[in-house]
Amino acid sequence: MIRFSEVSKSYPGGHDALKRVSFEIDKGDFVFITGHSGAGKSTLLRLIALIERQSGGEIVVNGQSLNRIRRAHVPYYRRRIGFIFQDHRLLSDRSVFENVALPLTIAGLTPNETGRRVRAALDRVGLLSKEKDLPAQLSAGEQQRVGIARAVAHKPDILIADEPTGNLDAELSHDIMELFDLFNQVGVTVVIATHDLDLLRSFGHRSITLRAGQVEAEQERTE
Amino acid sequence: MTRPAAKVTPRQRSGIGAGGLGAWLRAHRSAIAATLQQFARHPFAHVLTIAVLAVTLALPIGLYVVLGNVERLTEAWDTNQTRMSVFLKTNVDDAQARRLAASVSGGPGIANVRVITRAEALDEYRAYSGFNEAIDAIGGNPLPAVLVIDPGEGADLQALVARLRSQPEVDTLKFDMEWVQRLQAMTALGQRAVRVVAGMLAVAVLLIAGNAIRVAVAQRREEIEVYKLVGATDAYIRRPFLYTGGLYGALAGLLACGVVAAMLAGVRAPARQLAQLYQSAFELNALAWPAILAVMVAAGFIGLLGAWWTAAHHIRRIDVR
Ligand SMILES: Nc1ncnc2c1ncn2[C@@H]1O[C@H](COP(=O)(O)OP(=O)(O)OP(=O)(O)O)[C@@H](O)[C@H]1O
Ligand SMILES: [Mg+2]
Repeated sequence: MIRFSEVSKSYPGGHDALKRVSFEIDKGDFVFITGHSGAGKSTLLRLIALIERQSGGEIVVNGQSLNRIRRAHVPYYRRRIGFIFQDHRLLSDRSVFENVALPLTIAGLTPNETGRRVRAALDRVGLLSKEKDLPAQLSAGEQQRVGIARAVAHKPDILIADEPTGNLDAELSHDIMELFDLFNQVGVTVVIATHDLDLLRSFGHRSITLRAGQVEAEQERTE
Repeated sequence: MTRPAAKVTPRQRSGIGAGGLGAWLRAHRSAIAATLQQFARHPFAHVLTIAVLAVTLALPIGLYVVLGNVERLTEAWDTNQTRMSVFLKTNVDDAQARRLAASVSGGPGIANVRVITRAEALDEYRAYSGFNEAIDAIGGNPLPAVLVIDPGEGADLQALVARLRSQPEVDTLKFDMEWVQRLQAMTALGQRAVRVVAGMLAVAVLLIAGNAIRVAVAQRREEIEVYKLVGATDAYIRRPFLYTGGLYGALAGLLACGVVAAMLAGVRAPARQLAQLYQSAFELNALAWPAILAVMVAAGFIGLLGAWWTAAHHIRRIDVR
């Protein structure tokens, strides 16, 4: 599903954020990317999202080499992936419903179909009753869940999250992780960057540890 | 696991939401809705831009209307049918003027003679010049009587002029056509000038609309980033900005026409008086709806072009951070 082969990324200015990173993530896997601050976790996810382009090596997602996706096709590629950031990146002047509907509207779904899927997604994250609220009216945990609902509304094959629990306390973090687990159980491939080692241990999924841009260790599933 | 790499078209790659006409229409409908929402949310900024554009457009529109009227005025005169004003000497009184009119009116090459007596000339002058006090200060009537002569069809104008000049009462003689012809030449020149001015101001409209859209794109940077994150194409993001640019132009065109129409209404009465002075039923032409519509379409198109030019460039440079 996701394969990195000798992938390097150097940012302008010569800093090597990733150095010859290789790994493979199968369909339906749940993988944590971990490591110290600056290890290259975000960079790795940004390469998958085509927010950045790798400097060397090959990334294959869904059988497609990302090198070969031209700029104009990036939006269509992104529609098959759900992204979640630490800052939820919701539109502050739109309701919860409108935020979650955004990827569906953009993809050209009918209003009926959009409404159906938005409510299904909101139901999954337990926020169906808040669809008319503005993001600012929600708690941090709820905002993050709206972000997740938006990421899953268009039923992506892959969910990618960069420190999705960075702003949340332990209990809320656990709830959010269980939510990801839920999506994973219906077949969605999940990749989460985090440096919350407790959380990582309590879920026991496979993890890839980065250090200074290189894969330091791989921990297999512990259940 | 890796699937064999297959060539995927963008539409398949979208995963959800088959495209087609329905999706296209929905995209445009939502773009229009987004545009109107923006107008409702920040009316002041939009109104300001539209006002600036309207002022820019009002100048060439006004010039066009004025020139159009002047052209119509001069065309109304048949330059083949020459009218002469024969100014009599100031010591010729009205009775003598009438006698002279009677004596020439039967002559060859003359179709019609009308006398403007010294008193009539003074009245008209008082009515339209506004120099009442000045005339009172001079005392008496400084104006001569005038014979307005329409030569007959195919008249020998040179012979006619010579014959009139030889009359002792006649001071000077003027063909009214001279100034009409001069005016026509000037109108032609004016039209060329207006075209240049209009071209320059069209460029100004393009730049103003383009800049307004550039600012709008910059202001909505975060929103655009989110759109790109969830898979919006540049074209999709661009659309509401294009509608906004077009709407700017069209509304500014309408407003500019309104300003010009108001100015025309202001000078309508004096223009009518002036026309009466020349025995003409000339009426100032206002802006007709087809013309207003044409202005709106043209200005809308320029606004759209300006929006396209900047929106395309600036949206392309924004991506998810
Ligand atoms: N846009 C950028 N330009 C230049 N250097 C960058 C850029 N983004 C990241 N870097 C550098 O690349 C390295 C890896 O950064 P990255 O954000 O991937 O780390 P991280 O593992 O996500 O860290 P954190 O846990 O703090 O989020 C860092 O040294 C960082 O300074
Ligand atoms: Mg990071």
